[in-house]
Amino acid sequence: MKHLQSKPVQYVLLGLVFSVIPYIIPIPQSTMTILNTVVIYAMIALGFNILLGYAGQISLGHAAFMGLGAYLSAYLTGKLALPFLLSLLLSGLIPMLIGIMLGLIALRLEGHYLAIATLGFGVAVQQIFVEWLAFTNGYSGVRAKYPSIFGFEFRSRESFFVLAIAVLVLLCIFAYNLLKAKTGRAILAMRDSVSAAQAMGINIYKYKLVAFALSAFYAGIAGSMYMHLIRFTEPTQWGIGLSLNLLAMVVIGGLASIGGSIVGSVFLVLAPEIIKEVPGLADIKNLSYILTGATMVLAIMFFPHGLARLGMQWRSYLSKRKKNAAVNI
Amino acid sequence: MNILWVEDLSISFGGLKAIDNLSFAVEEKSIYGLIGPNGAGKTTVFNCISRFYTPDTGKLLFRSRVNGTIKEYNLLDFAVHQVIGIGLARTFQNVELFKSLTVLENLMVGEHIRTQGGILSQGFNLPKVRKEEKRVREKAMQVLDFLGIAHTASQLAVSQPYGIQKLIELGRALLSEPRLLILDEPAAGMDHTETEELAGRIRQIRDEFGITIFLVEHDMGLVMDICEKICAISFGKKLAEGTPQEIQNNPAVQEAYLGKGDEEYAS
Repeated sequence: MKHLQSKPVQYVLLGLVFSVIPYIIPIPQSTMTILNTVVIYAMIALGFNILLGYAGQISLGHAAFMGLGAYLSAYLTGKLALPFLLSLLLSGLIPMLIGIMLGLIALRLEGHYLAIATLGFGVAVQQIFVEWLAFTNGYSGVRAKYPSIFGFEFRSRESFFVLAIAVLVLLCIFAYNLLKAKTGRAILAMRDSVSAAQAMGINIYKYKLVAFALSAFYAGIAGSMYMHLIRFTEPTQWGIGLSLNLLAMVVIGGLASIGGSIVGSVFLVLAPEIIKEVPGLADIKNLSYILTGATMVLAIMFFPHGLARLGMQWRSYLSKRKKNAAVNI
Repeated sequence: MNILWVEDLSISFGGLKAIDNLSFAVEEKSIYGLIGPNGAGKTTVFNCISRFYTPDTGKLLFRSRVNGTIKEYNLLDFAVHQVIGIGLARTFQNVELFKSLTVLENLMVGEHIRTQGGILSQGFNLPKVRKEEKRVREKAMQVLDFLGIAHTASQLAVSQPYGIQKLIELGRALLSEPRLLILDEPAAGMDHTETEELAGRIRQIRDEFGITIFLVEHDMGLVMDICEKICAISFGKKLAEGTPQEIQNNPAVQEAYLGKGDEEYAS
């Protein structure tokens, strides 16, 4: 029973449960695609949460890293005919290196200036996707194959779901282990008090860079998975809209929370799909954007710890009320 | 042997001279106090030594014994996050704790520079990382035991009363096994009993671990009680240096403290 309390074991068990569900209950193809997308966005949200939630650094250009991962994976498995797993890893590592290069410059800036610099990066990279025809084929887009591991092709949406969840579980465990060890303490210490962290020997610049690099890696992995799920991509997908959605996922789901990143992704991907099904609401243009914006405002005002921690917030509210009642008697 | 020299230290902020040609030296294994009226520049001196500020002119030398051999360092060669590596740790005037970490984790950050393990081995939670985490945790528990606040280990640091927060900060600095411990107003916000306990604790840290203590303090009772040597400054300039007795009898110090506009210190 002791093992059940360990988070990594919980992640694996939850992953197993979710990945067999589609094999037990038949789910329509289109819904399976949406569920796969949820898992993929959870990957990038998780990485982005390390940067925004844990390290307290903002970026408005992370869609670029995901797009880069997508194009790279298409190129590596297509033109270079590399095996899927290797290209998945490279699609994470190359955006990570680019992230480090960007971070070396941009992380000297703080707050608004960092936001503007990363926004500029995002816009510039999207333009490169449009112009660099040899790599991206411009607006015509590129195609990719089904992912395959040791000869097994993940053709069905159900099998892809198992693969996506396995990758997400690995990413969750890695993030969890790292964040509860020395690196996590240093990153949180830096967010809570820069001067105390420095006095304790933490190199602020290094740990900002570590957080930035990790988030770019996670984004690249998510991009590669997306590419092999949809098997087509073009530049308009990787713009500021996605970067802002990412911000919304992390804020709504829960800053500095692994579970929150996943909950945020579920919310941001599923909410527009649910709206589409509701008669009357479906006719209102861009309602999902309005919903995202409004939920973000509500989150900041009323549940700053995010949807994932609503239960905890409610419990602490109740115990506080109990305490106050006791004082009044 | 002196562990710290400050020679002709000067720093100014926008034309205002905060420290003006200040020189003093701290002897190894002593308890040394820096006093002065509000705005005298005490914390600025601390910030220069701990490298948060770079002085305009002057020398900052630090000498410590490492495995029996004596090494001398020019503090100006070190960045702010590097001084802890040569044995210089500090606390802050307004407690600076990591609010999202527990008491135990706050202390564990003090061991940061000695904690082994790369990003990948931490991410995969390799056995060597687990072993290292256990070592750091146990070391932090020992320090919490020493400070008598082991029962708070798993609680959030910010949810502790102010007096305990001060102890947590002290413990975090202790974990790095410093040779010189710089305390910025350790007794601020503490009541009389807590201050007396603190005095005992500071002496104990020096006696048991051989750590040199250098402190800034407003509580004259504490300073006169525990410091062996005191340097009094006013408007960034040195007024006097000597034993508590000498400082108390020094006319310049008396004037700086009791002179007009400083009634606060009259008591």
